[in-house]
Amino acid sequence: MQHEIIESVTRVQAWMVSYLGNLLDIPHENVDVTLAFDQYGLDSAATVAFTSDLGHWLETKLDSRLMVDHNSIQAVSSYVGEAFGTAVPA
Amino acid sequence: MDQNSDTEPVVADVVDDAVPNATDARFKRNIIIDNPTIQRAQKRIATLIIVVPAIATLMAFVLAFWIPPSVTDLVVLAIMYVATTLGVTAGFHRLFAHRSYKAVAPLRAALAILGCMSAQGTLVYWVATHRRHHQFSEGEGDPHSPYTNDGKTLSKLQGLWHSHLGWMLDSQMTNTVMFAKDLIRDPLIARINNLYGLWVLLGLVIPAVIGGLAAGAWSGALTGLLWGGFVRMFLAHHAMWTSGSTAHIIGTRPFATKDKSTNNGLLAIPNLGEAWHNNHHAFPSSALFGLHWWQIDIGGLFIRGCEKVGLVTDIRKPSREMIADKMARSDSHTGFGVW
Repeated sequence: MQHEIIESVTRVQAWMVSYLGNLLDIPHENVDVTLAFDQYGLDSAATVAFTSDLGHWLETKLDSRLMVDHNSIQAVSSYVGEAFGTAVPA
Repeated sequence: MDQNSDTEPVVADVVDDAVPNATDARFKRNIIIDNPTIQRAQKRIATLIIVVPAIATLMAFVLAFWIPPSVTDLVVLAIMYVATTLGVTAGFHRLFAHRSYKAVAPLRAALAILGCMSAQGTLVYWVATHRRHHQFSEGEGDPHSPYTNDGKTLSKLQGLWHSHLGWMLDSQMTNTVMFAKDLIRDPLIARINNLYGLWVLLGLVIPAVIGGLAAGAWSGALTGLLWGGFVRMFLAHHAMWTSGSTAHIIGTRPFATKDKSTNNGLLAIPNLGEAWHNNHHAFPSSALFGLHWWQIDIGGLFIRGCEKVGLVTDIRKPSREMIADKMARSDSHTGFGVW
């Protein structure tokens, strides 16, 4: 079970890294998963859009405060990976 | 300029296509953010933006019986009206939303800040919403059409209200990542954008300080704040919002476009050229909205003036042939129209 959660967290993190890399046009290896979203220049409208698109991928609606309460890719993916477990798409 | 068909994508190179294969299929996006909590928050902010300047304007006129505005206040009002409206039309609209010309970084920054001072939403959000308006003009997905809202046909009165300001209170939020990625990526623009509240506040503080210093009294600060701050904001808002409302309802339609946009020479004066709106929908990537010498377009004049002094390059505009050609294909659309 623990193993599955770690895998889910990794998948969410990978999705978010490529989403942010694609959005900001930076190589994925340069995306720092510990950096706060506002450090990347994202305003609240952009983080809300990011959250909405993440929810779209997970086929669910996420709380719009998700990226306020969990302010980095690492924090969001830990939370979402644990909450959704095996429901996270491969 | 490479535009001569009605179907030319306005900003195809910066807007992600909703079709999955345009980008990675995993990033298929919704054009709107379907979230009631966010919509409620947006509605609160929009209500403040609409109502506060209106009430303050009323107060300014009532107060004028006892404390009339000074000449300084009115001059500051005029200067700030023109400067912030240029920020919106030449900056938010023509430079950032349509990328219809290139400007040096200090001018880009100045226009971004001035546009924010106008308090019409953040730069990125304004641009995203506007690109959505062009992509879905008068159809489902258009945030502020006077004819339709969320798939429902609007009556004339409903349409006028919705397209002028009602849309800010009941439409769904635009996905800025989908429509304005280029601006979120731009570090200078993103930084200015994220300080939006500060610019709005400065737009109120500056006229108050000038008014107070000029009068040497607190009453001068008050009239400065009211006239150069809120009355200016109120007038600029409604002048600009007509490009969503009356500019799709009242005026001439020399070009057949897929939407019902109109030209209105009277409104083009206060909104610095925005009201040549049928021209704009016919040639969305043109930096100049006035296409003939008699079509007064102050925003366009400003951009050309900046080109003369080297601040602006690569102004996009349709050739005479393109204008004549498009007009020739639109002969059933001439004449003044209402709805």
